[in-house]
Amino acid sequence: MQFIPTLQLDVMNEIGNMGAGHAATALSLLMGRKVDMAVPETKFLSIEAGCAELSREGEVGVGVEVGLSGSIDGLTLLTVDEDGALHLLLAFGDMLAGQGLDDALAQSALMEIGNIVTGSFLTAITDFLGESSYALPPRFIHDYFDAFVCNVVVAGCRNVDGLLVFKTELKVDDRCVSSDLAFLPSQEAFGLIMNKILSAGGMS
Amino acid sequence: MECPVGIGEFRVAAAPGILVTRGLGSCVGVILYDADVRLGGLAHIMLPNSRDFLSFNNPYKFADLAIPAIIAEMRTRGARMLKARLVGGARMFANGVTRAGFDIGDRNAVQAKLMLGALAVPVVGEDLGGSVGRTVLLDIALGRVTVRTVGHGAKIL
Repeated sequence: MQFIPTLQLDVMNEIGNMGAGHAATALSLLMGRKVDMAVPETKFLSIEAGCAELSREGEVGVGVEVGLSGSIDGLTLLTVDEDGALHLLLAFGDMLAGQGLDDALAQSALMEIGNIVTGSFLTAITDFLGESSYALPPRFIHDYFDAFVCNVVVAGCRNVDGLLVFKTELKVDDRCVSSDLAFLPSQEAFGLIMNKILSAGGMS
Repeated sequence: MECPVGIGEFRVAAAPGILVTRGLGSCVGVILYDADVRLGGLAHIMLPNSRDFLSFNNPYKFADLAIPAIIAEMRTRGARMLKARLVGGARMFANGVTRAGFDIGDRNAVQAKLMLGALAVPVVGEDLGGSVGRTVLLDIALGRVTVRTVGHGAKIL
């Protein structure tokens, strides 16, 4: 597995916080609510450790998976627990309040949140790197965490035995929504990111 | 006593005892058992082939490395008549757009069968595919394999 030194992980954490800031602003505009988002910690983990980090044994949750295309390619996975997902739906107002997670409109709204969060983090990363990338249409998953997380991670990792997990603190109307964002770059994208943050740290 | 096998791990144990691995989605559980010496093994495989990767830290998440390793350990511990069962290998996005690489469950199962065939271990049972998460238990004293499926209860394999 590749290794990221602490200093470079701190850089990624800062980039994550910029992404979280963009995401909070965009979500707040969309919902007309007070939204805060921060990344208190960023981890770089092997595939199996990443699965364990993102899974909550025996718990059902929601995932929004977004593919990335361009020079930073790969995919992201936003995970939210069921309570958090229902709280997010409430925040959309009357139209979605009380809708279950199997409702098509509710799923569409949650996919849009996944899109916004991914797009915000992607913009923060590509701005830092001076690269360009775009998000593909999102996919919605509602299942046991340990089943779907592992599936997305192993299918997304391709040839890199590692993923970045942004531990996120998302608050809507001051209520915490339990969520994480995983970022799985391709080997080429991973190389670009590492070169850039190593040179930014004066270690090239 | 239940002994959990984590993602990308394998474990070998003698009777009495129960080996269990939870949340098999596209991952494949390889269950090995020798009834004569009552020795059981369980591997939780995530990916088919280590050769797809430039570097990795844990070889036992790959079918091509974990299966020879677990069989070697079981044979060292006296197993001569190993039989295998395979569980998992689902496609968790049955209703989604299929992207390249998302048939990983199927590829895991195919690679596991290839490796078992090469090492002369017959596959005597399987519960593979579909779009459900599975939990598998091997009761080593009884040689009994139980598969629990979300929403479908439990069955003996």
